[in-house]
Amino acid sequence: MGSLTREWVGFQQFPAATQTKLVELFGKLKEEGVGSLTILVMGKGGVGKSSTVNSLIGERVVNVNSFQSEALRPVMVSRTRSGFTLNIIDTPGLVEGGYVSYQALDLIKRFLLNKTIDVLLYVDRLDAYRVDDLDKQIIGAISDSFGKEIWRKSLLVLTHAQLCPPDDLSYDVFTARRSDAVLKTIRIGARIRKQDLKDSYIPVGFVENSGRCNKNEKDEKILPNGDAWIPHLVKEIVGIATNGNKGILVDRRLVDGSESNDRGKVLIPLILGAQWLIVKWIQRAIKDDIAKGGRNL
Amino acid sequence: MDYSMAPASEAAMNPSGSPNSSSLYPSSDPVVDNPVKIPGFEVDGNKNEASRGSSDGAFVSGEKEFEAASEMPVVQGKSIGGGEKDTPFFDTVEFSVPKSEDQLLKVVDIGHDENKVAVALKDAALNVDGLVVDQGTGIKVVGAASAAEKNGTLVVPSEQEVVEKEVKEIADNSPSEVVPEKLIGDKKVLKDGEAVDGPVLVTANKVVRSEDGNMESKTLEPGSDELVETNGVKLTSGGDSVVEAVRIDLLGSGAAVVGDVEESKDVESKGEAASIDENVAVDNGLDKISRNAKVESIFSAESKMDVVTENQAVEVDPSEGVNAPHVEANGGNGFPEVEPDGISGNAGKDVGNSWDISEIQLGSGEGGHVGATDRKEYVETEGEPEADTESKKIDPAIKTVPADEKVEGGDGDGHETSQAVGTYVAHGGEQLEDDQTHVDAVPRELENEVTDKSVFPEYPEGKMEDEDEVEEKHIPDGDGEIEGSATDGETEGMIFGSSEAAKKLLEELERGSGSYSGGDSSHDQSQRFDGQIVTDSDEEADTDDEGDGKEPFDSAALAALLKAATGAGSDGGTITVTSQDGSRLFSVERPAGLGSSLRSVKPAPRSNRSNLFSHSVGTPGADSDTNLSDEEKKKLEKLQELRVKFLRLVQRLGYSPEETVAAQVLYRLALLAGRQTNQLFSLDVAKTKALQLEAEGNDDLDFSLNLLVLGKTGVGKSATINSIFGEEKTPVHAFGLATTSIKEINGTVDGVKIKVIDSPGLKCSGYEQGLNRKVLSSVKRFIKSCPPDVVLYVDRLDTQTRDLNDLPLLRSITSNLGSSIWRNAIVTLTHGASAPPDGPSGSPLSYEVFVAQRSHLVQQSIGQAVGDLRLMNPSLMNPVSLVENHPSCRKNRDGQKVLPNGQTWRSQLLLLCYSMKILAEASSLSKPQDAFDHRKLFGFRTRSPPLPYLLSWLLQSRTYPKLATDQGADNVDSDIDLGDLSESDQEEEEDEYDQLPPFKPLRKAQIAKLSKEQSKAYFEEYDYRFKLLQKKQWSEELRRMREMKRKGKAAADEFGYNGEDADPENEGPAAVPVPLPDMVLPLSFDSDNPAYRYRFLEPTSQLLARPVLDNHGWDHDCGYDGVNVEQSLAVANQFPAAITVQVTKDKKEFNIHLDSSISAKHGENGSSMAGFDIQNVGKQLAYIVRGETKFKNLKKNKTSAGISVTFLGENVATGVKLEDQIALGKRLVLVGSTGTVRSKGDSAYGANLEVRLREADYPIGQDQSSLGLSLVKWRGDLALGANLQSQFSVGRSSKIAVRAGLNNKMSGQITVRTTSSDQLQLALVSLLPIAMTIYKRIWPGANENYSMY
Repeated sequence: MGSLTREWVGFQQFPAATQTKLVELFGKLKEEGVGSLTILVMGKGGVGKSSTVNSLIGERVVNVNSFQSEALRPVMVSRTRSGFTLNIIDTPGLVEGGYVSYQALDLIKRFLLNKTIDVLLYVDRLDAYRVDDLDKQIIGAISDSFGKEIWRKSLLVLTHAQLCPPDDLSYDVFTARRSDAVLKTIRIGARIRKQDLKDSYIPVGFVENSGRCNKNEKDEKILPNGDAWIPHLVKEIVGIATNGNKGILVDRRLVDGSESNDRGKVLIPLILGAQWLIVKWIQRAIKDDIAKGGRNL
Repeated sequence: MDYSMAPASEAAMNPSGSPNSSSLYPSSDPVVDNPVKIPGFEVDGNKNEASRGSSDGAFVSGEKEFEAASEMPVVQGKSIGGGEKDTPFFDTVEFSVPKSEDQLLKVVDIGHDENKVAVALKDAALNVDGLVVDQGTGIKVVGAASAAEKNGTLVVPSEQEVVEKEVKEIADNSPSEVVPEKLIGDKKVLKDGEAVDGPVLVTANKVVRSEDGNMESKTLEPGSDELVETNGVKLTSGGDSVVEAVRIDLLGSGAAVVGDVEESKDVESKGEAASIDENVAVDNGLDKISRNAKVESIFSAESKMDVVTENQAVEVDPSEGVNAPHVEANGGNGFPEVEPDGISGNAGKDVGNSWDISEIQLGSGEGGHVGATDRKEYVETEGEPEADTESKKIDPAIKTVPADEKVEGGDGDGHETSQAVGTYVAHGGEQLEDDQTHVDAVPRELENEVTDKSVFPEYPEGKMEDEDEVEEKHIPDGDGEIEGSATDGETEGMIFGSSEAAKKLLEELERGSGSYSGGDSSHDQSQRFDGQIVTDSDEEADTDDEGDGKEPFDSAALAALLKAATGAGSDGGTITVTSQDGSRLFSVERPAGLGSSLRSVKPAPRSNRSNLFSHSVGTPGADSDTNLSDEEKKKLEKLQELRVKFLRLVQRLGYSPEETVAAQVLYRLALLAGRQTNQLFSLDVAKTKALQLEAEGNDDLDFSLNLLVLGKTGVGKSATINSIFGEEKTPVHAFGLATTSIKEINGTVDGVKIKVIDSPGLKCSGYEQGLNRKVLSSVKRFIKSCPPDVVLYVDRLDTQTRDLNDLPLLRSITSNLGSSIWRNAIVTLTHGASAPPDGPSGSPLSYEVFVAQRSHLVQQSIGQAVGDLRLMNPSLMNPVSLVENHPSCRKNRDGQKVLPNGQTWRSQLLLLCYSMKILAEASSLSKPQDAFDHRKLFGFRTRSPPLPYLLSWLLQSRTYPKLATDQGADNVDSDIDLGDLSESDQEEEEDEYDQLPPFKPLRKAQIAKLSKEQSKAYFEEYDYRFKLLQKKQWSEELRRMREMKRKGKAAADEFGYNGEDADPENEGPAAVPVPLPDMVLPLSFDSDNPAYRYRFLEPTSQLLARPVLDNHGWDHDCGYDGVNVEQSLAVANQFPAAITVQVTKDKKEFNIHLDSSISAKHGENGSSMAGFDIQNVGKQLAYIVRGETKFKNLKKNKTSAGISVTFLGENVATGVKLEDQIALGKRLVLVGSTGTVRSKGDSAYGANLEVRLREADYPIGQDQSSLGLSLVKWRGDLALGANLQSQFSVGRSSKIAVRAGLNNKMSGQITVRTTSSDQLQLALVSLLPIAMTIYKRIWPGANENYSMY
C-alpha cells in the first residue's frame, strides 16, 4: 500500500538552482508548522500523472508506459528530507473504456483511508484541444467522492507543456486559453457556485516531463516561456497547502459514502407515536361527534 | 545519407533555434542515428513488448476462457412439453408424460443422437471444454430438434441433451395415443419425445460475451428445440475417458491453437506456423474425438499433430477477446485432414483452412475433396490468383488425406452412430471467421496466414448446422466484408504487406506453385533489395562523401534494420506505409531537406523489376493470347488503363513506379490480370504510355477521389484537409468546434479532382455517444449519395489510447455506418511530427517505434470495435499514414512538409488513397467473374446438409394427426391395439373395481393420526383403488371407442376439430380418455406464478398457445423466451391436420420451428400423412416436405413408408424410409425402421430397431422401458448406438427414469432421474443460504476489509 519513507535522494539530482528554491519553499512550510505534505495526483489516463510524480521526486519511482495501461492501484511515494516528508500518491487513470471508472475511484478512496489530502493535483494535457463531457464527468466524480472542498486544495497541472502552439497563437495566449477552458470545466463539473469562485481559485501549473525538456543556463527545466517549472509548481503546491483551508481527511465515512438512508432514522418511532396519538384523537373526536349528534336528534 | 546536411538543414529551417520548434521531432543527429544504431533492438523490443503484452493478456484470457469453458455450457433447455410443463403444468407432466419430460430434459446421447457440435463462436474453448465435459458420445447437442410429427416438437432439453430417437419412439407410441389432448402440453411433450429422437437437441450455448461485446457468438437456445443450433457449444458426451483424455489435451491445445493463431497473427511469428498448424489440427482432432470413426482414422494421421499440440502450451489468445478461441477452434476443426500437410506449413493454408472449413462443410455431402475444391473455388472468387495457388495447394493436401473420411473426419463428427453429426461447427465457424479475415487479406497475407495455420479439413457433416451457422455467421459478417474487402483488404494487404510476411508467403508459395512464388520471391527479393537499394541508391543518388562513407555502415546495419523492420513490420510495418522495410528506415538517415529523398528510396533495381513481372508473366505459359475471351480482353484493357492512370498519378506525385507502395499496386494489378502475358497488359507498354501522356501535359486524367474524414474533435481533420489541398478550405479552431456540420469540399490536386466530406468531430466519451448518432446519420446520408473511395479515420499520434478509451466512438461509427466503412479506411495520425515520448527505459522511443506502436493500438481498437478478427490480423489492418499540419513543420527542398523520418506525408497519403481507389476499381473489374465462378461452384456457399440429422428426422415415427373422433379408435394409427384388450379382460377389471368394498378416503387430519403401518396400508389401498378406477375408466373409454367405430364414421360428427363441442359427452372423454389430475393452480392469484401468467384458459379451442420455458436461462429471468402455438383442425372436415409453430427469440437469435401435417385415411388399415416442417439447421432454415403412409398388414403389424425432401439453402436432400412395427402381446412392441437421405451425391443410411416394453396397465401406470439400437452410415463412417430407457415408479410418490446410451465410438451416457413429490426434504435445502447469511451477519469475518475489486 504505502511505501517506506525514504530519504529523498532524488532531490540531489535537481539542478542547484532548483534545489535552492525548493529548499526555500519547504522551509516556508516548516515555518507554518507543516511537517509533511500529502499530494494526490489524479486525472484521466495517459495525461502524465506518473511522469509528473517521477519528475517531482526526481527519480523513476512510478512506472510509466506510453502504450499500456498503468497500474490499477494507487501508489504512494514518500520521501523525507531534513525533517520534511513529502507523500505523493499516484493514481490510476479515471477513465476506462470511454466511461469514468468508479472502480478506480473506489480503489483510490480505499487506498487513502485515514490519510489527509493536502493538495490535489488534477492533471490534464496542455496539448489537448478540447474539453468535453468526459472531463466534466471526471471532475464530478472526484467531487462526489471527496467532497467539493477538495477543489479548494487543488491545483491544475497541464502536462506536455513544451509545445508549439497552433494557429499562430503565442504560447502565453494558448496556455491561458487552455487553462481557462479546463478551469471552466472544473467549475462546471464540480458545481462550484459563482459566489464561491473567489475562494476556489485554482492555480495552474505547467509541466514538461519528457527528457527533451529545454533547459536554461542554470540547467533547470524550463517551459517555452522561460519559466523553470519545477520550482513554480512546487511553489503553487506550497501555496495551496498553506492557504488556510483544511486538508481533506479521507475517513471511513467518506470512503463508504454518505449514509443518507440513516438520516433521521431516530425520528421514526417518534413519528409513529405521533401518528398513533393523532389517530386516537381523531377516533375519540368521531365518537364524541356521534354521541353529540345522536343526542341532538 | 547526407548526414551532415541534416543539422544544417534543420538549422536553416529553424534559425531561431528557439524552443518553440522543439515540439517537433528534432532531427538532430543523435536522434537520427538512433534508428540506425539500435533499430533492431528497439523496434523488436517494442514490438515484442506490445505483442507480449497482448500475448500475455491473451494468455490470461485464454485461461479464463478455458475455465469458463470447463463449466457446462449453458444450454437452454426448452422443452415445450417437458420443460415448459415443468412449471405450469407440473402435475400433468409428472403423471402423464414423464417420459417425454425426461426426454426433453435429458437426452441420452446414444446412437442416433445427432450431436451437433455447436460451438459458440465465442467459446471455442468452451466448446472444447464442452467436448470434454459432455459425455463422450461426442455428440454435441446442437439443436434440440425434436420433431414431433404433428405438432412439431418442441422439446428442448437442457444442455447437452440429445434426444434420442429411441426416446422419441418410445414416447411416440404409447403416450401420444393415450393421452392425445389431455395434456396439450403433454402431447407436445410426447411429441417432443418423439421428435427428440431424430433431431438433436439444441444445446444452446450461451456465448460468453467478450468484453467488447462484439461477439457474434450466439446462444443456442434449446428452445429452438427442433432446430439444431449450431451455434451452440459443442457438447460431447464425454463418455470415453480415452477420448476425453485426448480431447482434453487437444482441448488445451485447441485452445492454445486459438491463442496461437491469434498470437501468430499479432506477433506475426511466422516461425510458429508449423506449430500453429499443429495446434489447429489438434482442435480438429478434438472434434474428431467426439464422434467420427473418421476421426479415429484421422487421429492416426494426426496423432503426430496431437502430440505436437499437446506439447504446446498454447494460450488462447483472447487478445481481441471475442472470437479468438472460437475461431481458433474452428481452425482446429478444419484441421485434421489437411493436417499432415498443414503441419508442414503449406502455404495458403490459412485461407484454405478457414475456407476449407466452411467449404468443406459445404462439400461434406460431396466428399471432402469437393469441399476442398469448393474452398479452392471460393478462394478463387476472391479474385486472387494466389488464392488459387493456395487452394491448389490445399487440394493436394487434402487429397493426401486418405479418402473423404479424412476430410470429413476433420469435422470431428462422430458421435452418431446413425448420423455422423459431429458438428464442430462452432469451431469451424470460428475458424472460418478467422480465416475469412485472412482470406480477405491479400493473397500474400493469405499466404501468411496460411503458413500460420494449416488447412482445416472438412467439417463433419453432422455439424452442418453448426457449420452453416458458423459460416453463416461469419459469412454475413465477413461476406460482405470479405468479398468487399477482398479487394480492398487484399489490396491493402498487398500494398502493405510486411516483408517478413511476404517472405514467408513466398516460401509457401514456392512450395506450391511456381509462378506466384516466383513473383512473390521476386517481390520479396525486391524487398530485400530495398535495403540494398539504399546502398545502391546511395551510389546513384547524391554522391556525397559522407553518404558514401556511410555506406558500409548502412550495409552492416542493413541486416539488423531489415530484421527490425520486418519485425516491426509485423506490428506496424504492414500497416504503416512509411516504415515498412529497411529502406524506409534508412530513409531516416536522409535529411528531410532532400527532395530527392523521396525518390531515393527506390525499390528493386530494374533487374528485380523485370524479375517480378517476368515471373508472373512467364509462368502462366499456358495462357496464351489466343485463349482470351472477349470478356477477358476487355478486362485486360481496363486493367491496363488503370495501370496507365496509376503510373501517371505516381508520376505526378513525384514518385517512381518502383516505390514500395506503387510497386505493390502494380504487382497487384498484374495479379488481377491473371498472369496474362499479353501485349494488352504489359507493364512496359503501360509505362511508356504513361510517360507519354504525362509529357503531353494533357489534363485529361480522368480520376477523382472521394474522401470521407472522420474522427474525434480536435484531432486535426479540418487541418488535414487544408493541408491536402494546400490552402485553407475549411476553418480550423484550436479551442472550439470548428466544423459544426458536414461539409463537402471540392478541390483539385495535381489534376485529380478530390472531394472531401468533412464531418464534425465525434465525441469520444462513452456518455456522449448518443450525440454522435446524429452526426453519423447525416454522414450516412452523405455517403449514400456519394460513396467515398477512402475513409480517413483521423486521430492523433501523440495521444495515448489506453484502456480502450476509443472503443465507444469506434463502435458508434461501426454501428452507424456499418463495418464496411473500415474496409477502405486509412488511419490517419495527425501531429505526425511530434516527439516520441520517453520509453520505459527513460530515453525517448524511436520515432518508428513510436509510430508503430501507436498505429498498432489504433488498429487494434478498430478491430475490436468492429469485432472482426480480420482486423486483428496485422496484415489486414488498415493502413496508417501520418500527417503534420503545423505551420512550422519542417519542409523539404520542394517546400513539402516532411516528417521526422523524412517522408513527405502528403504525397504518401495521396498515393495511398489513389492506390486504394485504383485497386478497388481493378478488383471490381475482376469481381463479377469471380462471383460467377463462386456461385457456379457451390451455389450459395452452403455446405451440404447434415445428412445424418435429416435422416434421423426422417426416421422418426410420427403420430398422424387424428380427428377427435378417431382418437383411440382401433385404426391403423392407434397405438393402442384394441384387439389386445379383450372384452373379457375389461369386464373383469370393471367388476373387480366394483367389487371392492367401499372405501372412504380419509382426511388429512385423520391420516396424520394413523400409525405408520396403518398409513402405509391406507395409501396402498388408496393407490390400488385409484388404479382400478383409472383402469375402469380407461376400459370404458375403449368401449366407447369401439362403439363409435362400430357405428361407423357416419355417426361421428367431426366436431372434435370444429372448435365447439357439439357433443359434450363424446367430446369430453374423447379429449381426455384417461383421467389425469389437472394442473394444480395456486389458490390466489399470484403474479409471480407463471401458471397464471401463461395459462391458457380455453382448452376447447383448437388453437393453443403456450410459452416456451427455458429451464436453463439466466438467473432472474423468467425463462420464457418463446411462444408455441398449436392448432389442430380438420381440412374440408375430413382430413385432420395439425400445425405447430414455435418461435423463440432472445436478444441474439431468432428461431422458428414449424411442424405441420395433414393426414388422410384409406379405409381401415391405411392412412397417409403429408407434412411440412421448418427448422433451423445450422444457421439456415431448412424446409422439409415429407409424406408417409402407414398400413396395417397383419393384426399386429404396421408398416409405413415415407419420403422427405429437404430444402436447405441451396441444397436439396431427399430421403426415403421404411418402418415396421410389430406388437407382441399387450406389452411389447417392436419397431424397426430404415431409411436413407441423399443430397448432392452424398447419402446417409440409417436403421433403427427398438423394443418397447410397457407395463400391463399402461397408460394408467407409466412404467415403461425401451431398448433401442441405431445405426447410421455416412460417408463410409458407421455409427452404432444403443440405448436403454426405463422409467418406473419407486414407492408411492417417486419415479425413477434411467437412460443409458452407448455408441460405437465408445462414448456413452447414463442418466438417472428421480422425481419425487415428497417435497419437504427438498425445501430444507433452502435453509442453507439462510444459515449462511445469518452467519455472515453475525460474524462479518474477513470480508469486511476486502476491496471488492
